[in-house]
Amino acid sequence: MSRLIGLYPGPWRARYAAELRDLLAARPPGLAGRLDLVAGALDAWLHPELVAPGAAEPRPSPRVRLAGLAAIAGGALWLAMAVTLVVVASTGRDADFTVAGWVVLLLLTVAALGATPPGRARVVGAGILVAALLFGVGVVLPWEHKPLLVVPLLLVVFGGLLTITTLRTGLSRPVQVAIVGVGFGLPFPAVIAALAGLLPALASAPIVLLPLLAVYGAAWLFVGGLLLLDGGRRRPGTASSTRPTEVAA
Amino acid sequence: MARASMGRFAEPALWILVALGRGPAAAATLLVTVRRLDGPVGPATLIGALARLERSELIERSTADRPPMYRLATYSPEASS
Repeated sequence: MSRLIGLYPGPWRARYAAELRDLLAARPPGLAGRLDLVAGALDAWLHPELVAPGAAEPRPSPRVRLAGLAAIAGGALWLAMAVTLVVVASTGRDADFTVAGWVVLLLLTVAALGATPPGRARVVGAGILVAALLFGVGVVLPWEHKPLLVVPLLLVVFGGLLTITTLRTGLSRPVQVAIVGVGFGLPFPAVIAALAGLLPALASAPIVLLPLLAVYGAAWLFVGGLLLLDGGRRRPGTASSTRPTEVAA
Repeated sequence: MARASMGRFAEPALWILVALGRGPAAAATLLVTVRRLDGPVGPATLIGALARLERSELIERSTADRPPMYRLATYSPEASS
């Protein structure tokens, strides 16, 4: 149950998590109680000013908001590509997603760079540039073993971008790991294995690929939404636990 | 006074104020009382209502106690003017 508490923003957890754990320990919640926890987490994200006075007044930095918008656009385009890919594949036809794929990659790169703290942006940007160049070289070169270069880079780039952007959210580390794990770690290897012919059962039923592909786009929509709402300001453990109405003794 | 929108938390918040009218209480006690007065209320809804009441400076939260105790805020004519 404490995993659901991880959905709450860091400042909120710093202030109320112990009380909520006590309440849940005294009376373990049923389904309605779990839904109440999820709704409460959404409310906590939407109203940061409740636990951190003044937190709602400053707008999120334009840089992080841009990252959020790029993440949402990239995630939505990815979902559209996934649906189109599966529909086209189920009819036995081929479709070219080269342009759309590069646009998605560009949007997700913008999201990751915007979400990167300014002090590290240069290092992260250089890493993304090197990976993108190697990826481009791998795609362009007429080399029979190019999947050996392209596929690992694909994993590094798409996984890395989601990881970098997710780290900017104020979610707890276990929830961040869960987002990257469910959104990328589980589906990507399965999809690549299917496309490489290693999982013939999966490749022969394209509709099975849809949820695998969709969770990656959904993860980006979720992370992008958080960045837009939160602006990446609230980090776990950074909340002040003292408020004007608190009585110290 | 910082006003916080109550929304769906208005009714639990009202019953929290009623419960605190009897004296300071911890969240666990308040949950039992509010459930008795208002029916099934989730723990997250209770905490959300407490946060809004505190934000509105209608209640105070004591950090000296474990678990924290809540009580009605002291009325101050200067603060309300």
